[in-house]
Amino acid sequence: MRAILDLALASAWNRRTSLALACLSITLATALVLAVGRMGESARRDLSRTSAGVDLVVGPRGGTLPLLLRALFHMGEATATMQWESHVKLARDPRVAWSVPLALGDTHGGYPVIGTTAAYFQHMRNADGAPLALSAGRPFAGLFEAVIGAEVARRLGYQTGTSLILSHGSSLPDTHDGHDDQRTSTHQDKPFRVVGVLAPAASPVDRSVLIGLDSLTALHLDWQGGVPIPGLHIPAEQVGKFDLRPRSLDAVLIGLHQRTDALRLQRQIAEAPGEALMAILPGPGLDSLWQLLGQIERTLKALGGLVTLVSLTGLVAVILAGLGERRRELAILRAVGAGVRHVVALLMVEAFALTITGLLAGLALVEAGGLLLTPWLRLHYGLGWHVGPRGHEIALLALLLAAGSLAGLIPAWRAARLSIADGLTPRL
Amino acid sequence: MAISPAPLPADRSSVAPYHPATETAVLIRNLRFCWPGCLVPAVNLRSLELAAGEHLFLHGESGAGKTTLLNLIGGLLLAQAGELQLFGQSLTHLPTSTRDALRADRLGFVFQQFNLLPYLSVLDNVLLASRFSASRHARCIPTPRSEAQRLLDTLELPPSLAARRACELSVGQQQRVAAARALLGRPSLILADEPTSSLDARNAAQLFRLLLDEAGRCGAAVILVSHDPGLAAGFTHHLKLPSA
Ligand SMILES: Nc1ncnc2c1ncn2[C@@H]1O[C@H](COP(=O)(O)OP(=O)(O)OP(=O)(O)O)[C@@H](O)[C@H]1O
Ligand SMILES: [Mg+2]
Repeated sequence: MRAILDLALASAWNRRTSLALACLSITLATALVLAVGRMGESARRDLSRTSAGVDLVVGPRGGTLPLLLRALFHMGEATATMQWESHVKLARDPRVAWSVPLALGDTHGGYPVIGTTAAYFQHMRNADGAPLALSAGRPFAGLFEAVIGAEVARRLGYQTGTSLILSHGSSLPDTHDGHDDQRTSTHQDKPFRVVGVLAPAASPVDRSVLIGLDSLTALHLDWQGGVPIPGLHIPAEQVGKFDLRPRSLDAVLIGLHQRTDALRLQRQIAEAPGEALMAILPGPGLDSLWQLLGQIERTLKALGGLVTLVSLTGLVAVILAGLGERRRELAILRAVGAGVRHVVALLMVEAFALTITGLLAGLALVEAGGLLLTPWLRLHYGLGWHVGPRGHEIALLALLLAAGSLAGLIPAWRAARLSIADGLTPRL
Repeated sequence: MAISPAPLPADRSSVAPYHPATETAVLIRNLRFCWPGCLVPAVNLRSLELAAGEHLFLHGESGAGKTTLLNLIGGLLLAQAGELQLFGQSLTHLPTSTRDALRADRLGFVFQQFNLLPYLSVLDNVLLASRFSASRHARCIPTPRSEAQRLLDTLELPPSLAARRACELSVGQQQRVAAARALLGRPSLILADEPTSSLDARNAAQLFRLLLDEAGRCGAAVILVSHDPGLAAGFTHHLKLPSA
């Protein structure tokens, strides 16, 4: 065996360039497979954490999914609204620890504007489960003050002090170019000032503009039914004289003292007389949303499978290409007495060493990427992956290792089948 | 010792019964080999017998099948028909692993194209012969390394070359390394395919003499292929393969 190892080493050193390339291709393929898998996982985790800390989402009675999309992802059109008084009543319930009211509808540069209270900053969390943090400035306090999400700040180039004009109307999540659509008209007379910029949260808040509910009401004092009331104009300086309590809300996010109360409160809200409301548990709701997006996950998995297949094919190709190169070498060894088993051992040792080196290097690459690249990726693209191998990844690596080592058997089988004299004849 | 090229492969009744006197190194009866796709056999030999320690001079025109015959005897090719025995064992009926072991234990090959591994040092190339057989290893006295060095010395390769890679040697030097590899570990049969083709007359004669001396020392049978009729004189047995 010692002789085989010595020989394998000397022979490999002789072909070090092509072997290094083969190893590199395994490394990159492994890194790709792992990164794709981990990114899918982390996307799923981010999604499930959109509701971190929220025990119930309350809104006007209707479809579960529209409410969820509206309350947690700030997407979709409101078909109905709930009254401010219903929120006040809910907030007084002794089981409710905190509540965050949300009113949507306006946009800025295609990003949704969320009217809420300062409680939002206390109770919402980012994708890592930590409380929301500001990278600059402070939460809004007065009228016409806005806090913007990290992506809004980066894409539109805003910072604290920037003044911005909100558009009235439907949010168009795809048009982030700042140009307003025909259906929207602007609140040009009441500009906002950016007072705070949120740190990246890898959640929908990155793509939101947060303002106080009173500012939102003030904005719409002279509006009705989505258009300015003709002949009425209330200047920004005078809005303070009016009742700025919100007229309506889209949803209320609720945190409970005891999560076990969630189901009972949910039923109570559904059965309560008065305004037709409903409450949903965000966890199961998000799960069903993910199932709706299951196509994406299946696509990611199929992609990972394809990449694995391609990398395996590459490995076999590299080894087979090497066989042409090694035909004579192996025949010489056989001619001086090496048995088929020696040749098999020689090839398997090499394939095994090559594969395991490539796999470990690929794993190291992904881990290093997770440590060094992910913070940046999360900041700019909301992507990233976790660090540390998972059980199913170890299984995948083991499978690749087995396949790689077995790939070494193909040339061994060919070498054993050809007559030795055949291999000795130099191909001109 | 009995040699007769077979003009008619069908003539089997005339095969004489075989009575071993001493150990027989090589025994061939009605051996026939055709390369795939060739109708004319490259080797068609009715009978050949070589006792242990005997030396045979094999000659014939280029393309007569000399290299092919050596490959058959060494088990690098398998004949389609006929009988081929090495040391009393029928090569065609041995399992591949036993044939490999027999080759590692008892055979020394000097190939027409040397067949050194270019990435190994000269010394490691010589030592290859002892790598795959424990008994061959054990027959190198005192050690394979010192035995290899002695052979390289005997073949007048400067000691400074021992650590060089084989591909950095001149063709004549490579030929001598190939000869040293074949002689390492006291083989019982040496198959040498034009071992002196790349050497000048003086070196050729010397390598030739050393080869036979060493073979004599370990009692090895030798089959030597050469185009040089001057060398034939040193041999007791001759075989001329007819051109196909
Ligand atoms: N690998 C091969 N495939 C097919 N035919 C071959 C092969 N090697 C040799 N031959 C054929 O077999 C015949 C014998 O070849 P061989 O190499 O044994 O000749 P040789 O007597 O050794 O010649 P030389 O003196 O030139 O070395 C030739 O006609 C040759 O064309
Ligand atoms: Mg020849």
